[in-house]
Amino acid sequence: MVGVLMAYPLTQGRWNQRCLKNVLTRGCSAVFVVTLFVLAVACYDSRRDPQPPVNPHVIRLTAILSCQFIAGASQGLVVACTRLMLNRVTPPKSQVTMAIITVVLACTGTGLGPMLSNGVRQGLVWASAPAAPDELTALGSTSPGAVNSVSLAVLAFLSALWLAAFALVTPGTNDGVPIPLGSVRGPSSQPQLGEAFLPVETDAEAAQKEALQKKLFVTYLTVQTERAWLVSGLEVVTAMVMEEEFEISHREIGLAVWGPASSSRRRSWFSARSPRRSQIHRRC
Amino acid sequence: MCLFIFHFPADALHLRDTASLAFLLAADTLIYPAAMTLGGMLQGLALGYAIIPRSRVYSSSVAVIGGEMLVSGVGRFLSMPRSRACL
Repeated sequence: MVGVLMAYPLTQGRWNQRCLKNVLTRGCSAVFVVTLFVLAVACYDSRRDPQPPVNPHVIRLTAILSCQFIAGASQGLVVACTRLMLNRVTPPKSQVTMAIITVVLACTGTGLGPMLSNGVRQGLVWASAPAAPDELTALGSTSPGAVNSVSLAVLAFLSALWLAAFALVTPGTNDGVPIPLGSVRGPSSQPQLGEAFLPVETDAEAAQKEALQKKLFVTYLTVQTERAWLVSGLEVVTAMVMEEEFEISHREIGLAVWGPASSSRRRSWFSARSPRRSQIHRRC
Repeated sequence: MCLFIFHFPADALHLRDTASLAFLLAADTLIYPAAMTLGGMLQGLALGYAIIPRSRVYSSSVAVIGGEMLVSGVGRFLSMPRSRACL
């Protein structure tokens, strides 16, 4: 919410693509550097420090949650600004297709995130103790410093990749660029998207069209809220059912909820794990 | 809805324990993309045809920012505790 609110003043007034691109690039660079630095300090293995802090776990938890807040705010800012920038250069007839493409790419990235973190973790396990009898033993012998270093390196690489893509692909002028679904002249050439209708219309027709536009606008906001409510509630309850009834670990629950397509490969989830289905059934 | 998926259809199909979990995950796999695609389609329709010229309320900025605010501030924020409370 904070990040989305921060995007509002940036997108008001006269549209200046170069200014907005510079602000986003420099702001996101600063946020990435600060967040990675704070995360590195928070994840530093204080057991090797001759004078560890008084409450290392509380400090570490506070720092990690602060990084989560900063990352969430910057994500909201980036999503709102990039969606508006995309909207300015997309003709009305291609808006639906571009919106679906945006959703597909966002869902793909969201689903690949847990798989990437799981792959990094699995790679660390294999690299640290290849001859360990089981995964927990191998994890126990893994150095926390190595885990932190690899995690931060992966995060830094992904951040640099996003910044490079944004700086290279996003146009720096108001002229616009041809897009795959139809070339447009730029943001300044189509400031009023709603005017692409009949050239001559009576007052009654104009009023009716405006009423329909308002109805579509409100419906869009309502359905977006309902969709977010449905998806978030389903995620939470799925995680709760898997945790309470099947005693699946938190890491695998995250992988299952955000990557349901990969769940069929985890045969261990579907083995007998003392299900407690009757308990929740009674509570319902 | 999750409880509906988990209990009643699973009972009707005589699915037990692990099969009902697989059924739930399969339903999630279908529901998530359907909901997200519906949201994307409606967002595209709204941005393409529901923007009123020279209006400060029904503008593209309000559509994008208001939509994100409602999604994160209302949907995601209130849905999770409400869902856990239902259980």
